[in-house]
Order: sequence, then structure tokens, then C-alpha cells
Amino acid sequence: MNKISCSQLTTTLLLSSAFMLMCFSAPIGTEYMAGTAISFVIQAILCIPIIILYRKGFSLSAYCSEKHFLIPCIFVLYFILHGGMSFVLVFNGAEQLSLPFSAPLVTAVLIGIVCFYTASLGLCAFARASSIVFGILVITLAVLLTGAWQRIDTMELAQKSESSIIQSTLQNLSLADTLPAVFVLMNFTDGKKPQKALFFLPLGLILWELVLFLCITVLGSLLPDAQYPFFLLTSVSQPLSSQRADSLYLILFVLLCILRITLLTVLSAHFLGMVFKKLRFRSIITLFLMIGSAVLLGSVNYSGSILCIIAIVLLSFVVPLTFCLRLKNHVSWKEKNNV
Amino acid sequence: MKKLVSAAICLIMSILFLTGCRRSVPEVRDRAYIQSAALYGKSNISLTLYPFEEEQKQETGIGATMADALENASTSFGKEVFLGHLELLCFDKADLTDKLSSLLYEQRISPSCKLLFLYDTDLPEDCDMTLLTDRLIMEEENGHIPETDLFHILSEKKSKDEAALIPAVTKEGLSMCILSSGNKPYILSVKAAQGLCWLRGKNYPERIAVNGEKGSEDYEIHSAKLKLSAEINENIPCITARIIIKGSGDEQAAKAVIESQCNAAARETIKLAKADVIGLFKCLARYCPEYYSKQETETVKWDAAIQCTVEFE
Repeated sequence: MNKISCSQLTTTLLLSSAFMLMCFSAPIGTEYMAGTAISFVIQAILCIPIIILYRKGFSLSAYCSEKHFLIPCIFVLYFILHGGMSFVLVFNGAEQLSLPFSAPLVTAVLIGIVCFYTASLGLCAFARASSIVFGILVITLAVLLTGAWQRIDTMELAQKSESSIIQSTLQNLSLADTLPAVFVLMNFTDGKKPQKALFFLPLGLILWELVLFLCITVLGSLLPDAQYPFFLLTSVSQPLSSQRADSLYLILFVLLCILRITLLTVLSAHFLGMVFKKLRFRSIITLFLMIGSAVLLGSVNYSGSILCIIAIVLLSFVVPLTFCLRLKNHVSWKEKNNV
Repeated sequence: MKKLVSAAICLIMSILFLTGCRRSVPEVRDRAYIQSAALYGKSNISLTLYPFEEEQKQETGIGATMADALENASTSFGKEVFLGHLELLCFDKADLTDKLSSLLYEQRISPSCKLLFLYDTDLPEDCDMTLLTDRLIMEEENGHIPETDLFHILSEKKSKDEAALIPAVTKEGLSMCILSSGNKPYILSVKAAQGLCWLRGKNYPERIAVNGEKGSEDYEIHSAKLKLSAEINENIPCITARIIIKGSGDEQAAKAVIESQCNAAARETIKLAKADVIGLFKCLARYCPEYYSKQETETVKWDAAIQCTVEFE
């Protein structure tokens, strides 16, 4: 795989977070806004060992090439499960946005084909594509803001929501499932100034807070009944009377879901290749496993946020911290040009 | 060579299958774009749809549910109906407002679609719906009635007292009506409807006729804004509505007219109709959160004292 720049890494992670924002379903209020801010601070703290590690010149590829298979296997499992969860989110979101596919399996297969194609182009092409999608995201937000602007009622901020700040923090933290991807994706950057990659956190926080603010102030008393607040917000944010903006939201939703699943596919296939060096069609295998796990997760109606938080903390904080503490004893894990 | 063959196959496949000419994809001519609709609820729901195309006549569908009625109306048109650009929806039964949310979410009706309640009256057979919509919009623009739309009305219906302010056609003409659960529709006076424009702060007239020192004259309004605040005096919430106006003309005469309109609006909505269509709950929740959280819904706002003050810049 080729190297990607820190700005590409930032947009990639931001778009993944934006997809979760589109699909999230929780009681929203000012408590959730506060909880989101706290959650992003926690995410920044969780990233500290990753930054320290890569500043020291750590290379995950170098570590895995020493026949350490446990970490790659855990990451493969994590990315496949979260890929499956992304498919489930797509199915649910498709109902809200009236995607022109009736059967979830057809949707999954079509998205799978597109993701296979984008994954086959490699991480560099994917990172370049994410910059373009970031532009579409900005345009969509501008349209959303224009449509919602006249409906904003700041009095709605005084209304209390059902969940507390702690519950909201945990709920939001469970959605930060791309945090472990930071640890992996940093491996594909040039390693200079790794802290730049964390720029996605303040950007993500602004994005989340903006959309939450709009949801609360625009939707008002409709908010408690909204299963997917973002989709309800889009349905009432139509800036033009003669032309509906639904198609723009639909395009963004599909692009974000494709980018997210592609990211998880690329990373899973990469780790799968480290474990099984001669394995072919790794992207296809990964995608099939993701669709399989989506069917499984959909059938058991899985929504284990606590398990998600544990996995996120483990893979984005505990694992890098362990590497940090043991790095001085293992010079071979460093990149060759740094040694 | 392999890449060339793959690229050629992809190209041929996309030319063959991605043309967008599948029969199931609806073309513009396969759809009836609906401009306005009238909903009558008796034993069944009767839905009359008025398309944008002038040469096409309205069609009616009757069914036990909204989806049934819509499907039957669609069959009468002989094509799929599209409600995404609906401009006006009339209805004659207060409880039909409960079914409106399904239209917003499932049929994707425009949130800025206007609603009109038919109070003890029906639309004539040859009713010009475009004219009716334009008239309603003009009344709002002139500040005669407060600005409302489907989204606002649904939001109000979901509020604690489930009361919504809706434009209504009565035998006397166009007015405003309060629909609240379990109560009869309450028709507001013209004065109260004008007062609500000021108290809701969404739209206001560009001029008002006043009796000044020189007799009847116009007071021109250049801009106006509303500031609501609340405080507790002897355990009674006192809500102050400050209307700050920039304009030209006899200020004292204008103040008297606006204050009398606002007082009429407050009296009719809160004291008589017992409905919060001004936003008292939100105001109390913001400025007196402790008092608001302690009080019972029914006891808080109907005792509220509302003071309207008009200031000029």
C-alpha cells in the first residue's frame, strides 16, 4: 500500500464519523450536546498513546511481519463486525431515505460490489476519493443549514431530554468506532507530525454539535418521536419550494456508507493478508464476512454499546499503550528508515 | 490484454444495464404531480387530489386508511401520484391532524405545505385551489394571520397541550382556529389573529391603519422583533412580550392598536381556548426552569399574566 497524507487521513475519519452521525438514533437534548463534547475529549485522550507511538517511529506492519498474528486477527474481527454493523445501519437508513432498493440483501450486494471495486483500487485512491466526498459533505451541510435556518427556535434548547450527560457521553463514545482505525491508518502515513491526524476530532466535534443543534432547535417537539433525527431533519430542511434536496442527502448517505465499508474492507483485507500471506480475493472474502455478520447482527438485533466502548478502548488505547511501554525493547518494530 | 478485456466487458455491461431505461423507473409523464389536496373524514377517509396540470381534473379516492384513500386516488389518475410538492392541504375533521405526520414522513410532503381547516363548510366542486393557496399566502404576508405550515402545526400538535393553530375557512371567510385534543375547534377573532402575528414573531404587517391626531392614517413598519421573557411574581408566572418596532408614523396610535391586538390574542388563546400557541411553555422552561419543572402542566400557564409592551427604535 502507498502512503496517504495526514489531511487525507483526517477526511477519511471525519467522513466515517459523519456516517455514524447520519444513522444515529438516540434521545437528543442539550445533555447529548454536552455528552458529545465530553466524548470527543475522551477520544482525544485515547489517541495520545497512538501519537506518542508513531512519533517514536513505530510501524505496525513491521510488528506484524514478525509473525505476531494476534493483533491482526483481533483487528480483522473488529473491522468485519463493524462492517457488518455498517450494513445494518444502511438497511435502516435506506428505509428512512426511501432508497430505490426494496430488498436489504440486494442493497447489501450492490453496495458490496461497489465497495469491492473501490477497495481494489487501493488505499491511496480511496483517500483521494474521500477528499471529494468531503466537498459534497460541506455542500450538503450548507444546503441543510439554508433549509433549516428559518426554522431554528433557540427556545427549544431549554427542553430537557430523557438521557443524562453520562449516558449521552457513553452513547456517543460507542459510535466512535473508527478510533481503532486511527491506530492502523497512521501506519500508512509518512509518520511526520502524527498529531496532525487528530484534526479530525475538532472537525468532527463541530460537525456533530452543528447537526445536534439543528436537530434540537428545528425539530423541537417532534424530536422525541424521531427514530432517526438526522433523516427527519433532512425531510424538513428543504431550502427551495420548487426543488427538493432529498437527492443530495441520498447521494451523501450512499457515498458515506460506501467509503466507510470500503475503509473497513481495505483494512480487514490488509490484516488478513498479514495472517494468511497466500490468501487470494481477500476483499471479496471480507465483504462476504461483513454481509454475513450483518445478517447475524440484524437477526439478533444487536446494539451493544458497552461492548463497542470496551473494544474501542482496548484497540485504540490499551494496545497502543502496551506498545508504547514495550517499544524500547523491540527496535525491530520501528520503521527501517527510522532505525 | 487482460485489463483491456475487463475494461471492455465493464463498458459493454454498463452500456447495456445502466441506461436508466428500466420499465419500473417512473418517467415524468407517468406521475401525477399534486398541487393541493382535500381530506374529508367521515366513516371513511375521502382524499381529493388537485394536480398541477390545469388540463387534468381532480380525482378522489376513498378508503378506510390514508394509504387506502391515496391508492384509490392514484388509481383514478391512472398513474403514480407524487405529493412532494404539495402546496395546500385542506381537511374538515380536527382528528385528521393525527394522520398528518404519516403524510410528512411516508409521503414526503413538503414541510412548508400550508394547511387549511374547513370549519362547517366544504370546498366548492370547482374550487380554484391555486387562488386559495395564493390568498392564504397573501394573508400571511400582509400580517393578517400568523404564518403556519405543516411542520409548525405538527410540532404544536406534539407539544404538551397538543394544541395547534391552523388557518380555517369559515362561512364568514378566512380566519384562524385552534385545534386541541378533546376540545371543539375554537375560531379566533380577526383582532386576535392579527395579535398572534406579533406574539409569535414570525410575520408582521408592513403597515397598519391607525387613528392618529390627523384622523385615519398609516403607520409604516420597517422591521419588528419579538422578545419573550418570564419571571415569577407571588408564584404566578408573568410573561412579558416586548415588541420592538422600527417604523414611521404616529407611534402612540400604533402602540395602542398593536397592544390591543396582542391582548385580544392572549385572552382568546390562553384564557378562553386554553391553548398555548404563543410558546409559553418554552418561555417558562427557558427563563424559570425550576418553577416550570415543579408545576403541573395544567396549572402553570393558564394562570400566567401576559404583558405586551410595544417599543419603538
